Amino acid sequence: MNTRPVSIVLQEQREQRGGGWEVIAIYHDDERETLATFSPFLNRELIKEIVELISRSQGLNKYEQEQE
Amino acid sequence: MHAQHHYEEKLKNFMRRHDLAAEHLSFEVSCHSVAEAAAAAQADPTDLVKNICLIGADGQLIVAIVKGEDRASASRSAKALGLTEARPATEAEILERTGYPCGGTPSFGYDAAFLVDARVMEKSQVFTGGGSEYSLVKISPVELVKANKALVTRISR
Repeated sequence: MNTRPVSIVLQEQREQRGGGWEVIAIYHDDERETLATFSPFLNRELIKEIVELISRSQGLNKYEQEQE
Repeated sequence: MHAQHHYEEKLKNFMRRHDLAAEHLSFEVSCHSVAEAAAAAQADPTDLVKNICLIGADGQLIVAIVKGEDRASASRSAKALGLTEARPATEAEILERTGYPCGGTPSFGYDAAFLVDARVMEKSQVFTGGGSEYSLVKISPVELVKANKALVTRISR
């Protein structure tokens, strides 16, 4: 019943797509869901703080970072 | 006017006690709807958040916080908390359970299971209910989540 993700990923988008960041939740069945997207112009430290906050609220103590 | 003042003061006291980095704004005009609130604050409607009050299958108050242009999903909100379902709260339940009237309900300052839609985090600042229909609070989403200890997940449709 509970649909908490097993991990949170911060994905850097390709420049060809305008750049920026996507926060993705990954669930038990490997389903991926985009939670939020951020402009490439947003302060990186703020994005990090937001993703940490999202992860902690989901009971996860870390997030993964990957490039598209 | 007296009741309105009472609710706004109660929220301002909470903000002071918890040292929140937020600004309380009072207006002469109604902020009940997103359009009214945006006009009062001279803000873009996308900078507003709505606090949708739901009652979970177990009877708990759930507050689903979504961007002004989004709609909260009751089923997604219930699922996020491991519940089978949730229904909209009535105006009387909102006042009784939050301590604030419908139309001025804040995003923090009372007991509830708070859910913040992750899309809210895309904004640098948002305006939320200020306790009465004639007030708003300007706050960053990060500070908002620190204030209500919300679960941040996808709850918009």
